[in-house]
Amino acid sequence: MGGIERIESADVRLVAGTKGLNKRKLIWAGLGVLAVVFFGTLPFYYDVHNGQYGVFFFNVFVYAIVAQGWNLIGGYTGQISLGQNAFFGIGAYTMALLWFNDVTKTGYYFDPVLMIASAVAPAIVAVLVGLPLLSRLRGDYFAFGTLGMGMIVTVLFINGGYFTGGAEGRMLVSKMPPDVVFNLRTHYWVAFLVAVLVTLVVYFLTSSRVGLALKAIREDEVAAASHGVNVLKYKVIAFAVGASTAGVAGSIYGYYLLQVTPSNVLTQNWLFYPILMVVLGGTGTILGPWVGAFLIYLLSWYGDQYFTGYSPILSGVVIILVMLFLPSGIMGLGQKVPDWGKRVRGSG
Amino acid sequence: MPAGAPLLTLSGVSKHFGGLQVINDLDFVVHEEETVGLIGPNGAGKSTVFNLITSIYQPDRGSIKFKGNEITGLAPHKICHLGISRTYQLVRAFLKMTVMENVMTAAVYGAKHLSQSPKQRTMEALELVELSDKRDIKAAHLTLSDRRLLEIAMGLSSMPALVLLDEPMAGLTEVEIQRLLGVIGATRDERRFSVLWIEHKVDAVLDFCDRVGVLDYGAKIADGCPDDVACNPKVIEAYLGEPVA
Repeated sequence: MGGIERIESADVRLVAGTKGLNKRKLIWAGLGVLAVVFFGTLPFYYDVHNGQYGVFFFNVFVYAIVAQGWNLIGGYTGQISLGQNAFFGIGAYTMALLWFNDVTKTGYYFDPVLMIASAVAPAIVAVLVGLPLLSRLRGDYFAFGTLGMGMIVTVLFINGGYFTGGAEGRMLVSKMPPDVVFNLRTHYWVAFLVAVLVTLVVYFLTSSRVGLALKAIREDEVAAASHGVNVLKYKVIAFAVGASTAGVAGSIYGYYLLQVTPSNVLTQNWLFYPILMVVLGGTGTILGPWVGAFLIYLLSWYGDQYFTGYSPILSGVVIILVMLFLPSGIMGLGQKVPDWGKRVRGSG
Repeated sequence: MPAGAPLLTLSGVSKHFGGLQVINDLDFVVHEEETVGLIGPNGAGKSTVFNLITSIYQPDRGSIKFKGNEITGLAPHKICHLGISRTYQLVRAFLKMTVMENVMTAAVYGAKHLSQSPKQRTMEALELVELSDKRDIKAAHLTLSDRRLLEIAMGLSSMPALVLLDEPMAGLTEVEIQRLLGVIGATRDERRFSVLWIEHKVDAVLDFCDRVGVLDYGAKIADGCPDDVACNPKVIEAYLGEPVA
């Protein structure tokens, strides 16, 4: 992981447009392509359906998607949203209810229309909730506002009666097209593809002009406004994009479980683990969510095997240690390396 | 310098916080291409005037007009788009972003439909404040005086018609003050914008400005050319207290 963090500084300079950095950017783009090729072709030489690492990486990808979305709103824009589990659940339920009621009538498994709908629905909710919350509440108060929204959404789905299926949710197994055999390989690929796409979207969004506005809002809202940034507009954009990534992840997870219930898609695991991952990996860095998702999931994976029932304690200990010794995450640790390199080169 | 048409007009502006009347029925005008100082003792309400102009606060009464259009209560970013840029007494640069990114943000979002690209305006603004060679440094690593210059560059990059400077010299050494004054003077002469300048250091303002207004307890007690203001007994009283019998 030695220099992955440099992507962030290369990214910064992309905007600055200084020379001599394209080489480093190329190296990292190359390594990124290698990683994508490796994970993309893994199912060809490893049986992801029967081997345990298939499930492992599938979960890492789903968490990475949610974490990347939170990274955009929390890491780059500085608005701590505690409502991501609600968006994850809304995404999962959008897919499940549309599929269950045969709204699209295509009968596809992994219907792209349903997946797009599960990205759009949370975004609409995010705009409707975000406009009042983001214009009125700042900092901690916004965080509590979104936490409240998450609780409301959870209760609405539990008490949704026949429409949502209540606490038992919706069983989707019966909806599986008869000619499709459940194979985790499909899920692995879909989750991986979406995770890469979401990473690219966040990367291009944050290294574009929009990214300047988002970071300016994070740094100083009042100053951003007085330099002409429409603060509310960009906060709502970031909130909505973050929500729709969580929603897509929800639909992918729903396809994997084939049963969508409040206790599995609206649980606060989908809120706190992604935040933990972003903070551990490095908030406001493009690879931080990936590193965090991998490490935290690894920890809970082996924690579950060796300390069954106690593994959340491990995550708790890790986050305390991270906050104490690595407040800017693993990526922040490496940030010092390029700085040091720059100084050496500057004096030479 | 002959005064042009009125650019910014405050008429009858009042603002109170709780029981404290901070600004009381203030009338004030800044003309085109004019450099106006606004001085006054601590707590006279100088910064509040800026916060009212840039819509961070809403006035209780009165109207603020810019280029003849009412701007009272407009969103802060729209006021920037109209051509008013400001600096803050406690510098508010985006600390974790590079100098270049800071100015780019202001250039991209500060103004629309300009012939020059944001990048050109950024480079030009950095050139004007002599920060070009520090453009890849994070704002957090700049000295206070460089941060002030950075904030001025951010303001300039949106090609404003009026620049509001909130105590730009506070906390700077004599050398840094001279450098800052040089930069402000040179850019003002090149770009021909108006300046409204709040300052605690009275002598600098009296030297630099075409006209000086004096605030005391939220009311304007003097307004005129620097020499007259400096001799005005009310001003001396506001700064030094009542004369002994």
